[in-house]
Amino acid sequence: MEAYRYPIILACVLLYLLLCVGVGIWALRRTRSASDFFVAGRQLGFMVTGLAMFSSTLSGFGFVGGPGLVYAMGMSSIWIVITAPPGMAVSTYLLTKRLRMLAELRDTISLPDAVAARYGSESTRLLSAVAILLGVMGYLATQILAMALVMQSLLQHTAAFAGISLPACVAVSCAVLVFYSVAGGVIAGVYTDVLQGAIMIFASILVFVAALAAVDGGATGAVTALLHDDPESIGPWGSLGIMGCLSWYFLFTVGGAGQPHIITKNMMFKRLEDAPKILPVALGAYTFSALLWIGIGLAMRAVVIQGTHPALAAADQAAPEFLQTYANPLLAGVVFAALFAAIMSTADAFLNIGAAALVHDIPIALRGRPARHELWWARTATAMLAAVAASFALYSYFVNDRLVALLGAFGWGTFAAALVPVVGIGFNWKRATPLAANTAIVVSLVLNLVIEVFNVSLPQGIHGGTLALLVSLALFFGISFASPAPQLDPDIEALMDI
Amino acid sequence: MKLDRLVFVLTLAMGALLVAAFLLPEADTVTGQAHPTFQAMRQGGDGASRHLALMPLAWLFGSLQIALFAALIAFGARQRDDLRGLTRPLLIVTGLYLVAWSLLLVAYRSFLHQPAAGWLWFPAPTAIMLYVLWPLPALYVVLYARGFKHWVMTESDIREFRRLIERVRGNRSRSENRD
Repeated sequence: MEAYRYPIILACVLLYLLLCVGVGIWALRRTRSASDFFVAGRQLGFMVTGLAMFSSTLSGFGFVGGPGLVYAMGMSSIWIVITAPPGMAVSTYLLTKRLRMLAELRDTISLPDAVAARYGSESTRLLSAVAILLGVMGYLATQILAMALVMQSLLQHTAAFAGISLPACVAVSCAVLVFYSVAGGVIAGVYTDVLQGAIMIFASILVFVAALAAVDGGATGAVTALLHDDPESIGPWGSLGIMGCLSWYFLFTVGGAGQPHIITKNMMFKRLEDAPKILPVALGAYTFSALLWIGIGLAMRAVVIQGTHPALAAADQAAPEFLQTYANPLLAGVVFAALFAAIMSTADAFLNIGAAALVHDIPIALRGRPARHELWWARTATAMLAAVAASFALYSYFVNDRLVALLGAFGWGTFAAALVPVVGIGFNWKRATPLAANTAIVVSLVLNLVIEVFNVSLPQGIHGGTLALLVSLALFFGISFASPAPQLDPDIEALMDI
Repeated sequence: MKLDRLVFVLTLAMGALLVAAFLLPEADTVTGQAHPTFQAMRQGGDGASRHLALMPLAWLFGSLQIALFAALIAFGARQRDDLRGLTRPLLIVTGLYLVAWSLLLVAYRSFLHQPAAGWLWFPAPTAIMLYVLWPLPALYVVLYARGFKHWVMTESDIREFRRLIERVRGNRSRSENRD
């Protein structure tokens, strides 16, 4: 079986890609309007919505970057993993009921649509759409680049595709993503998310068991080796330190309520009464998948320290190296398929919200109506966004290697600082004003951009996004308190009283 | 204090603590140091020198975070400033959360003097993080799932929402007919 390792892995990945194409064809027949394309016609069940939320949350970063962070820093990045219960709880209490009710009341099909309905302000719609578009471009380019690099590393081990170029890998991997995203919009997105989520959960559990078996002495052996090498690395803060870890904990817990690719799923489920069932599904799935993050990272750090595995040149090699060395070929195939699943499930969500910003929100904000033939333009915009993000990824890889990393890092913190006050607080607070919302978005965009462009590192290892989120929240409250209470539309006021 | 003011005050207090953290003297290895043998790894080094002075501030920063999470949950669940019975379970869960967080720091102080594996493979503070602090906030999720019809969206809320939808759609179709 070992002799067929790469053919087996490639077969698993190919099977997965074919399944995605199949879902795209199936969803094509069910996508008849812009509402179907962007919010699945609000017809999703709780299981599909929960798994789609989880799949969109766990990107390629969770499968490659996460284990890499544990390899590099010890336990520090576990503070991101353990934000899932409080983060999903905060986000659900703040948004699930409100967004779902608003979607039905005003037939909103995007987050800026909901923002415009809540604030009665087209400038707030425009700014939130621009913030989303900026974040989407960075995130999307990062995901596409990661997908192509993984594909290239796999194909290099085959005789037929040994010399395949990165642009060719970008083209192949994007083709599948674009096909199902264009054909079936968010319907294809969420149903592939279900498939992708199932693969991720299955793979994570198996990998965790394989990780325990890979280290001499199992979990006890791993912890003993890490303690002997550097007790802090297996202490709760790892190498990052206490304030750095706590700043991550805050940013990833509260920031979840500002991630548009996740929270827009709240506008898609069919029955309001299903709301309480969605959260346990999403949280349970995420918890299982986090096992991969922790298991591979700790196992690789331990085997290198024990001297049974050569040191890695880069921390991000932890997951691929583990799979190629310690996992059964079939398991490695499933996990590589899961890695593609993690990347594509996040990328399709970004494509969808980016397309909505382009053909729905920005045209309405600027000229009072969406694009004519909205469904056709939505499909065109989806393909165009993917093409631009792919070009962006290649440009960054070959010309300016900081660009995509910069925009990728810009993503979570920007969404958090720009949208948590506007959406998370504003949808629950009648005092919130459009001026406060606009200020929070603009200031958080500028602050995050300055922090990333000038590579500002804050004292004590504190994450820049945490500072931006606190500033944005304080400004939002401060300006709203200082302004006269806004006049809300009667239906919005009635909805906020429920 | 009303919840909106509470969330605002907690945000400002956290901001003030960040400023205080910026002003405190920083240990050389506050964010770790390169591993002497393995190039892609970092080490924490001497935990006492980089953390002991920061711990009171870190405890307060973490505690305020937990208070803010609970305040945001209450903010999202309230209806016209009424939590409809959620206050007590929310305070109990948040109290447990704060106790777990405080225990983690107490265990970490002991770990600094005697680094050893403690419970279920991991050192005691790491075990508290993984086995207590990670799952404990899931109780908020349990409250949401089990208490949705009592605290978040009662049967009467759903009826009120349906009436609102009918009223708005009725108004919309009347205005379309006039046009």
